[in-house]
Amino acid sequence: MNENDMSAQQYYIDGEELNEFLERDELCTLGMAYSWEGEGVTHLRFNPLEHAFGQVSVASFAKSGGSHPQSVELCVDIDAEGKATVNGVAVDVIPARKDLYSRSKGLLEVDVLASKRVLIMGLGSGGAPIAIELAKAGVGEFAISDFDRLEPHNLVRHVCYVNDLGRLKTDAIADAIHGKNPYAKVDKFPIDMTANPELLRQEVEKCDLVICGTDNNKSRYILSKLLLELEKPAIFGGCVTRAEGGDVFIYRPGSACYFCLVGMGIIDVAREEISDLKAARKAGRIAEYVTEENAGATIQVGLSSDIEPISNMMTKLALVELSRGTDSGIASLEKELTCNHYFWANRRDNIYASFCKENVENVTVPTILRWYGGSVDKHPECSVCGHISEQYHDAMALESLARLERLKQAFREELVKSREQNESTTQEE
Amino acid sequence: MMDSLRFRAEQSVLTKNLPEGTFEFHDMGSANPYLEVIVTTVTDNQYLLRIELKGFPESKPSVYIQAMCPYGASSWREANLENYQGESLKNVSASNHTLAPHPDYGWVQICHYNPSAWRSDVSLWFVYLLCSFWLNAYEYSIMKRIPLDAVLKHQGDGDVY
Repeated sequence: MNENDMSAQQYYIDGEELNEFLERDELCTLGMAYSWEGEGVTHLRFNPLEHAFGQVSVASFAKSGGSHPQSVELCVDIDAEGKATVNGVAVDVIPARKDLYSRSKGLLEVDVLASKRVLIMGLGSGGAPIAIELAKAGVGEFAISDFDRLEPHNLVRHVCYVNDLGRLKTDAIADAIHGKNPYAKVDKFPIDMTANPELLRQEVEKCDLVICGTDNNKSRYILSKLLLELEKPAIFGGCVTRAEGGDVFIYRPGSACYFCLVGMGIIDVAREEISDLKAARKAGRIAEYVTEENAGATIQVGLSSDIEPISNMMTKLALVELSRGTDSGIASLEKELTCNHYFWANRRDNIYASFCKENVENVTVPTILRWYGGSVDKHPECSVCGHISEQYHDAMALESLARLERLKQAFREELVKSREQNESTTQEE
Repeated sequence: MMDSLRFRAEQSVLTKNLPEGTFEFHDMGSANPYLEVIVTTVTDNQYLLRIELKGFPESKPSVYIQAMCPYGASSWREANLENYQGESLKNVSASNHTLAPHPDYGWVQICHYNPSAWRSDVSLWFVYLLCSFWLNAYEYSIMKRIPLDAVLKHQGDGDVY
């Protein structure tokens, strides 16, 4: 048979569902068929899908000795060995849970990953692909959080599709996760979890790793406090304006936290990319007096291909953290990825303008499209994990104090001038 | 929300830098804690500020001008501030550096910090200094009959003083 023969029919059946049916006493049952119209491809399910696709019809499944109802056109015969056929055409089996990741063995400790739970906060163009990649790697449980819906302006950067427009990102990404790992458990939180501290605490406590893909420091601050208290690891990532570059930070309990970086001035929060107007307004990142038109101009997003390196690095680091201590290919990266802060430049723009042109002869000079790692120590005056001393506050305020004094001095001089003018006017009168 | 360590540090810095009796924390431990602080300008006018601490230090505190006591006056009164053209400051305005007035009392809200640049290590003492700058700049702009924007730049746009 020509593999591109459009008249040929291909059938797929869910292996896990097939095994369950084989274990049952009943000889026949009804299920559903979803056909990609005109493509000769049909997916057979014993249980209806939560979200249907293609042309939907009823299918009948019968073991040897069972019979199909006359009213059903699509009949699936299952022999004593569990092999399924439709009109003599063999049905391919979608691997059951235990077989789904068989080809990843050696690289990933799939059984370990299946037992892990990851909390992903923020399902934008940065966080969403991480959810899907972790599902592809076999992570078994997810808690995903984002209060937003997929809007037209998201489409060119987001992993979801045009058919997902208007859907809650949590629903769309849960489907995308199940599209890669049908057996994953996904708990959806279509809310701002930072506004519900008790829920956030419970979820951080339950998970093995947190991925922070939010775009504001308020949420990172609240999360960082909890991570510190509950001793949970987390990976933070973000892009600077127009995704000229970005960085990834790994928090491991006992070491520097995200706000150690902020306190040291390594991260300039004001330069962070604003990619979503509604979210930025909600987080207070855009001042109230900024009109909708002007606020629109502050939304300077990067290309999806510029955001992906950041998400990809976060995924890789997440897999290393989740596989820590196991005997697998990815765990060997533990010895390579030892830094806690990595940054990446996409273009030689603005803060990366001083980077050199690509220079394969001299790899010691910074160039674009490479990762640079650094080890950040705990900042003793960190606003989250340290203690801010009076001296720190005083030092921070010095410049403002000097500015205030300059203004007051100018004001006093103007007052003196004004009084002198008034006095001379009075004398003249 | 401010933990006790941070609260003590904030209190200590304010005590060191501000005259006795010019600030007081209220309703700490409640859902809506706030700080009242008096700012005296070069003209010896006094302003009573209310710095709302809900969400501080993870987010920028809202600062309202609760009342004022002009030099020589014996009591506090409502601060119905107007700009150099006589327009009320009880609205959102980029050029007047004001945000939405208080939802219950209509007090003028000062825009003291670029929200996208807010850092959780910014102290209340720092916020006080910015508000003091705002108030002095405001009075200066009235005296000189110039826009507040000519005295007070937006954060990141450079300084006039």
